[in-house]
Amino acid sequence: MAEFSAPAEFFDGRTSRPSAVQVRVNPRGALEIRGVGVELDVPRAELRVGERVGQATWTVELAAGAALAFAATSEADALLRELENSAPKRIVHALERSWRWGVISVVSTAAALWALIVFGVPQFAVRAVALVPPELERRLGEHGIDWLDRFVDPSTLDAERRAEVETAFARVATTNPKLAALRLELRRGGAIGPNAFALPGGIVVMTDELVELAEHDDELSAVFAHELGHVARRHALQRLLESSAVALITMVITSDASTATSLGTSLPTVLLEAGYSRGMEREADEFALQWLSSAGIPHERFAAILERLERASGSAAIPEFLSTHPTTSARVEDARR
Amino acid sequence: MDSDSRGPVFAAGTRVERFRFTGTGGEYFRIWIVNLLLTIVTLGIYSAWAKVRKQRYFYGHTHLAGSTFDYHARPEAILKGRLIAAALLAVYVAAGEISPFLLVAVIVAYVVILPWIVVKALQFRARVSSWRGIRFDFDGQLGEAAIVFSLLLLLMPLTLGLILPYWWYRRQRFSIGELRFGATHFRFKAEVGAYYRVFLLLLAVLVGVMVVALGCAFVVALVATLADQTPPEEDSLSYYLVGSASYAAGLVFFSVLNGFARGWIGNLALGNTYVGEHRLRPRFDAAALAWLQFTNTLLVVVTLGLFTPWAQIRLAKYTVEHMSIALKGDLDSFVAAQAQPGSATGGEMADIFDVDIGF
Repeated sequence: MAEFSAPAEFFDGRTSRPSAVQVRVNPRGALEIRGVGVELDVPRAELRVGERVGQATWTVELAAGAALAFAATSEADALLRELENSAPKRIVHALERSWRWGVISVVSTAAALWALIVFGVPQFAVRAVALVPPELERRLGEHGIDWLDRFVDPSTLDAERRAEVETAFARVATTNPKLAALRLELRRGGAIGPNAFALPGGIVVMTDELVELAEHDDELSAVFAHELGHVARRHALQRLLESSAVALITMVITSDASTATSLGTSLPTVLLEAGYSRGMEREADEFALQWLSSAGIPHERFAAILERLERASGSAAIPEFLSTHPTTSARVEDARR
Repeated sequence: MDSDSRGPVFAAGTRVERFRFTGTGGEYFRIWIVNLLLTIVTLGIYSAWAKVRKQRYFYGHTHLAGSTFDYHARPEAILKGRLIAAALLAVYVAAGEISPFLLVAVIVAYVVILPWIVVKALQFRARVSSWRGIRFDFDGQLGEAAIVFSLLLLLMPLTLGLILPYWWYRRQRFSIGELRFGATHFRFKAEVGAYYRVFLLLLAVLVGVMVVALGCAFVVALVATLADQTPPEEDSLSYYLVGSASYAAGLVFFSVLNGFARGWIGNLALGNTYVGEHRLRPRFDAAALAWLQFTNTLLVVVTLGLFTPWAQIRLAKYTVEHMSIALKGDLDSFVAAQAQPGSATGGEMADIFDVDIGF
């Protein structure tokens, strides 16, 4: 058996007076601590090797608050490796020392984060959605509409036009018996312009501006069909869970609790601003096109309103890979296929 | 300012012992990145182990009179505390989504239990720290914590924030003045008037930073106009770039304020802290700290976070190496408390609340 021995500072746990000692693992496996006025033999079972981190002072805790402090030398390294029998600790310590692992970790961290956010979070959200009771989802929707009403005004459409829009909505809503408690809310959009979206729990919001933009009520039905596609798949709730998960990941990584405190207040904002992912939009479009076919409405109606919406909002072209939304032209193409 | 931040004239026979910090950015970077990777791969579970390793690294590189500090927390205890904190957060978020009344009820409940959490957290942080085998401890009582962290906090909005400096003073008198090293109690002798002076100076810095920020924004807008650039449209790529750039600029400007606050408040609070008869002597240069924090934040933003470990080491090195302690007698004669707190007697309840409550 090799000789393991290193100098250390010994603290008796009663006063702050240090003693210089020599520490050795004796043939019986116990720790021999020898210095001026110090003569201790400590069995392995009574000591705890502190985690070694980099070249920071390494410590061994003994019974009754006594402790040993080792400078990070190669002899101390050998001694502590002999005492420490935890493989994971040794592996982590070794990983943390190597520059090669540093570089590998940077790349893997970036890859893991990307995979977690692009694949992990949506998968989690899809599964978690199933666990949310419909009652809670309904309340989330009510909460969302209350919040929205701080920014938009009541609809100014006349009663006759409203009734026509309701009819266009009912036409889609009644063909889906699975979707209970669907509700249409009309609002004067103002700053948010021509727009329609689905809140959790089956509330569909449409702005007057969008109603005015439509040249045929079938176009409105097509838009409703798209929104009901989101409702059917509970996309709003899924999105909410996704953004909460991303906020939590950010919090864990940066260990910054301040991100979390604003989480509660920012959720509705995130929901309405972030919009849906490309996949969600595609699913809702497919749902809409299927319904149009079954109702005998040409897909062109959907394509037409999409194109007009894009012109009205005047959104500049973002390359599709950067955008969470599929480009309108791709969606129009799909509708006309 | 000066009378508060400079120590008294020392009588003959007092000796000054400097703190030293030997950690390096390159070494800490490798520890940090491995910890980050393991945290992500384990979906956050490893963060408790990462926290212990980080603390042990910083403590183990902080030297006083030839000996380093030591950190004794068990990761399992920290993990438990984080799970409870996560549960409290989830309750808060869920309450906010369900009804505003429920949210108010939850907030009131949290304000009521906050003092208890604060005491437990300060106890935890003290009891897992040691130097030369002697543990720190915290003697703050729940009653005082209730005044500082419930009553004064609730009064804050009613007084339009005018009691903020007073609150800060009470908070530090509590969190620093009730510390104990072994059997030796800390004493906190800063005065509340000095806090008002420091906060007035900080207000001046805040106004200055805002003027500079507005000036920069004005110049950018002017240049853009001269170059005949229309403001970027919503949804366009440059809109997002401008948005992220202004967010980053805000962070950088905020870091200047943070540096001044650390320097001035640190000098005031720590400079009036006694450990028994020994007095701490911080010598922070607030402008230098502001520059350090400014460049740190800038580099962290530019490197997408990869500079973080170097930034943390730079800050720790500056802070530690501008601290010393004026000794009456020597550092060898501290004695441990009757019962060493921590592992057995400290109680598991203290361990679960590892909440970071900074100075």
